[in-house]
Amino acid sequence: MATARQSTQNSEDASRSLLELTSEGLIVADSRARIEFANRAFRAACGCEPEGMMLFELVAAPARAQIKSDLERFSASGERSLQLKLQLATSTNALELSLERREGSERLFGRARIVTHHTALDAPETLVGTLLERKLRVLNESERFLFAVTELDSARFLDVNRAFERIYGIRAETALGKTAVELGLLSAEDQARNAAVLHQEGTRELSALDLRAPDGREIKLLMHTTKVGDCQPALCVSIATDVTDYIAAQERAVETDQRFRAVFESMNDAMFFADAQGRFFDVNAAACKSLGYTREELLTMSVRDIAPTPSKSFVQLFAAFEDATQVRFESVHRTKDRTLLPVELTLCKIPYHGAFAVAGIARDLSEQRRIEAQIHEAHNRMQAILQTLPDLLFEIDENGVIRDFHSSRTDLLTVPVEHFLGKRLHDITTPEIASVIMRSVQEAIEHGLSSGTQYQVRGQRWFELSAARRAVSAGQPAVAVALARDITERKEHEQELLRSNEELSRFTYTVSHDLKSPLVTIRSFAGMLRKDLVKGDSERVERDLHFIEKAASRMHQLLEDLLQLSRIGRKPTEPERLSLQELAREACELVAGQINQNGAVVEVTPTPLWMVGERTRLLEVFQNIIDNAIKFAKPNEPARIHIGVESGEPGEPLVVCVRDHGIGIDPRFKHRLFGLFEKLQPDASGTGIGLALIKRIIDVHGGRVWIDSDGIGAGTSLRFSLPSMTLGDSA
Amino acid sequence: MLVEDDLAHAELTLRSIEELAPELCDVVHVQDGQAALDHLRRAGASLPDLVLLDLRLPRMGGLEVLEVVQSDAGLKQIPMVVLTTSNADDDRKRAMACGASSYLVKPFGAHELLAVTRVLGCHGFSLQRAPSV
Repeated sequence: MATARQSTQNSEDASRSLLELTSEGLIVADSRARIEFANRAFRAACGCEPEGMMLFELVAAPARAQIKSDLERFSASGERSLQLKLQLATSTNALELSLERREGSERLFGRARIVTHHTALDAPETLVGTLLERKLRVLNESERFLFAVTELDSARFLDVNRAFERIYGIRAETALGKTAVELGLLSAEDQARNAAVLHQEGTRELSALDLRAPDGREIKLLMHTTKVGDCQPALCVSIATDVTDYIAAQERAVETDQRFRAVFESMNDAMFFADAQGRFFDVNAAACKSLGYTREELLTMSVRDIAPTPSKSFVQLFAAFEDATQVRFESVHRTKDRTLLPVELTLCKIPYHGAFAVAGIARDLSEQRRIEAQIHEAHNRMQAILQTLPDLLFEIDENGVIRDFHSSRTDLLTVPVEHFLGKRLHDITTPEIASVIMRSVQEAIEHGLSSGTQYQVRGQRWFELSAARRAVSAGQPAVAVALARDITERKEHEQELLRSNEELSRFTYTVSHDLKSPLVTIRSFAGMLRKDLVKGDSERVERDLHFIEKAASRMHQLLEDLLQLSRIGRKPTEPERLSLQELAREACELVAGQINQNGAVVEVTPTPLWMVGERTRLLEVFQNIIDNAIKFAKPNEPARIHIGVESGEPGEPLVVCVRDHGIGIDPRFKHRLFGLFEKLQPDASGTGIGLALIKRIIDVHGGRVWIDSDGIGAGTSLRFSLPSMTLGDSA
Repeated sequence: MLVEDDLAHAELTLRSIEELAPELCDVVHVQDGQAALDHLRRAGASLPDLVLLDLRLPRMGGLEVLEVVQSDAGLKQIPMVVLTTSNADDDRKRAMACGASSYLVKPFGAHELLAVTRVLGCHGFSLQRAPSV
């Protein structure tokens, strides 16, 4: 038995030794939580010998009653375990205690994690000395918090710490026994004031004590000084920290803020700050002005109040930021007077009171919108003008590149307008035209304007180019706006006018010459007549009178012919559809006298040919042709006249051909045939108006007339063609 | 040589010549420009001393005749006097430019013709009427 008890004792001793070694706090308590055993770690944490104490007695006063009742409840219940947090009354430590009730045992087993705590609220007397020592060491070694003890009356330093040495740059040995005035840190007046306040108030708190270190640095200290009056001599304890940098930073922050306010308030754009709920917490003057509210009004409002319609919540708006810190979009604001204001919003997410806020800039787009609308309208107006412009309008730069091209005249272009854009002029037209245009463009670029350049395209249409320099941004190639006016018709009219003028001048010359001619005869022979009458030369008198009579009747004939010629095309009668056969037959009736006298034969083709024109004039054509053919028939040989139709290839014009077998024409004089009063035969009858008359009538009908002859004695073929000629049977 | 298609005018000119020097003049009269040139080209050594040339002529006009004569080395030395009803400056200039030696505006008298022939240095005429062409 003794051996067995000895063995049990040994085993218990071994278990206790192990329990003593572990760093975890362990206890064993009876069913009412009276501590029977505590290991070394638990004892150290408590700072006392807890065995025999009730567990709740270890707990600091505020929670002691609660813990007591918790433990009593646990003891009474059948619960297996209880978790407790205990602030110990006996030390600065706290415990996280886990109590367990084991199967088959009344005892409670506790495991405690020890939480070290530095506040000795209910520290027992035994600990105070240790704590003070530690605090003093912390104070002495602090680099940051100045600590100094001075004698209240003499103001001499009795104790200073490392921070004192660092902040003032004065070694402790130097400072001890000296006053702040002696060390040059304070003026005597400041020192005196300091002492007075401390005497009276007991403490002094300075948020920015200005000091000058021996090395000249300006130092600002946040200082708290307390009089310790219950000792002899009375002492002052000062704790301070260097706030020089903090105050400088604060001053910089104030300056920054002032700068920001200046910019914020003078901005033309509305700017606001709104919190995460969209409530405005700052707005600038421009925001007030554009929205029509006072600042006070806006600061009671939220983003929702200026949105035109109930918009997405501001929280959703934050989501729109996603990862970006800035977003920009166009929106609409509603002003106080319900006007809708188009704005461009730039929003930035900024940190604010531990959460986020939005800084927003709203640029008023109404002016921009108005200008855009004006530009749009101007553009539309210009497009309309360009559509009605009968010209080609293009912009071309100094390198010959076409920048813009407008034309409503699609008939003038072989490709769509777009084809020209961006192309070089030399690539879309002939080198000749390109250089003509470029010369004009260069002139416009150099002198501002260029006009009057003319060129012809594909030998058909004529254009007149005007160009003007257009202002361009710096660094851009110079550009001219060019207007090419289709002057083809004008050109044709000019040429027509030129021809008419020439014709008129020829006509005037001819007429004046030919009309004067008989007058000269009459005047001269009248003079002769007078002389011959005086002389009594009756033969000469007869001859003189003969010339006068002949000249007078020639004059009459010329005037008749001219009158006839001038009537052509002046008062045109209604055009009629006439057949070749009918015209030929009627013409023959009109010159029946000459035909009969000559015994002439006129043959007309049966080919049905129709033409549209003035009946009287076209009859004159046939009449003159037949008359001429008879007049220039071979002597003593009746004229043989054949009127036929020549039709070439389909598409070629139909031609009427009147062929005679008369004396023919010397080809050398063909060019004079159609001239007014031109005669190839000096003694031929008539004035020589016949062919001129024919040509004029055919011209007026838009046709063409020409004469072919194989020469003298080979007969003559007169041909003419009218655009209205058609083949056909019916009338 | 007289080149004139208007027979009345030809008669007037011939009467002026007759009045000036009835026994000295030998005048060839043709009625158109082509005939005049043909005659001149056929004349050989017996070229006329003076040609009186109307401007409005059948077949070939007076100005054309002047140009042809001017371009013919054998003929260009013949004095050519233009006879015309026009006294317009332009017509006068054109005729002179084509090679006319002088310019007479119809109607002209014998004395005007004499003055022109003297200036041109033609001293004698014989009158002969050439067959009409």
